[in-house]
Amino acid sequence: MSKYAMLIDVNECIGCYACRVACQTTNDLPSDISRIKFMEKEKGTFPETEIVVLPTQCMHCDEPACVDVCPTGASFKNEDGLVLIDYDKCIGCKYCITACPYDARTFNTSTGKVDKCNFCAPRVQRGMQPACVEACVNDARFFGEVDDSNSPISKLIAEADTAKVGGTSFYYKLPEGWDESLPEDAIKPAYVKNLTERVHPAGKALLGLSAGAVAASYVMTRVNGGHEDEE
Amino acid sequence: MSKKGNVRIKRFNLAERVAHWSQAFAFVVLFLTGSALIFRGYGALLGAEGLRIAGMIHRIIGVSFPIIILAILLLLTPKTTKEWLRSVFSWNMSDIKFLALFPKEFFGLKVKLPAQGKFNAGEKINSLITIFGSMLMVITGWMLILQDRFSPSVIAWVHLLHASGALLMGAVIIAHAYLALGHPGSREAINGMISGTVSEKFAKEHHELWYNEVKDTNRVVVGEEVQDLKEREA
Repeated sequence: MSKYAMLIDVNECIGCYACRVACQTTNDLPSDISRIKFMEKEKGTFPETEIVVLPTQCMHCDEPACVDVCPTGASFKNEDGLVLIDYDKCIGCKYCITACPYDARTFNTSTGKVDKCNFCAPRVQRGMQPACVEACVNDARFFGEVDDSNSPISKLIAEADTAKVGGTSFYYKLPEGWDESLPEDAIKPAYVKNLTERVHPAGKALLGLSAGAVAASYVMTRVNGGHEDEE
Repeated sequence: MSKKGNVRIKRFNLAERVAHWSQAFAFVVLFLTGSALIFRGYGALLGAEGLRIAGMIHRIIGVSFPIIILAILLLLTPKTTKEWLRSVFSWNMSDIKFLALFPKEFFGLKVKLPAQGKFNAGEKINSLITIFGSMLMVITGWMLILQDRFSPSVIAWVHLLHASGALLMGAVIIAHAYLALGHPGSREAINGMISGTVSEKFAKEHHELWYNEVKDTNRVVVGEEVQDLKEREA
């Protein structure tokens, strides 16, 4: 389970994208790669329509699908519940991009590796706030420890209008009546199970079966005297 | 001295053999570099840098060899390629009977198999799996290279197909290589892919219908002394 959580108060988000720019600057990202995405949600009937910007990023799932499919162990969940990438181990195979239910990962062509939000782990470890939280001009973003029930974020989470994205470390406060705009609970795509529990084990069994049949034939044809050669 | 053992029957021309060994080389390299992402222990042994190099080799071979192999088959030996394709797509009851009885032969039990053409039913299945399997691997491989252009839900299925195809073809190639190299009944077949000829005895016993067709046209007598002996006898 996660020790840290992030909360975005969508009512306060003005869609200025300062979080995105701060994130790119802090993490030395090229301008075409963003760890934060913005879903523009429209609701209502004309003339009473509204657009609300809903920022999304890595939700730091409790049981991350990306970690399951990573063949090198580069994607991992640390003891603080942060889902991180060990860049020494990432080979850029992109399996995690396919597995992520939140489209939170992008391929960085300049490094040949996969990129995503790490909750600014190096800053957090130094007692700082993530860059996006610090940069937010209207205080729509909150980050902190959920273990401590007196922390500001714990108090916000306890409020009635806060919704949790199930199975993740992410919370939103949404405008009234916008409940269906909440990102869906973290459900591992069928891909994860098909790959790790079906295709890989079945394929390995097939290879073993073939090798076993060959070994059995090798012994039996010699025990039975290699009749073809004698004829 | 038996001169019979030195009469050989031409089975594959040079282009066919080069195409076969190109396919074999490409498959083995692709399997060794690709399966490092399936067998985690083996992948860990290569390490991240090794895996990155493996991935690079995998893409270079996977992109280039299918073109090389197709070019050899279609440009250098179109006639035999056409005959091969016609043969592997034509099936009759004797093929079914061959497949039903082959397990006995495989495990060294005495069995009389129905007479076969140039390619027996097992070789036809191996050919079909190779043809359609390679097509699947090339198409899904290209989609994985260009995966940014497809949605993750499409790539999820493409990746599953690529992994399944690799493992299935890996299982087939183990048995294929064993039949050609280690099985006492069929290991003479490897010479057809090395020198291009097989012994007359093997041709007659394993591909009787084909042997009857080509025994005069494809006859090769190997070795000077034997040839002299033969001339003297004649």
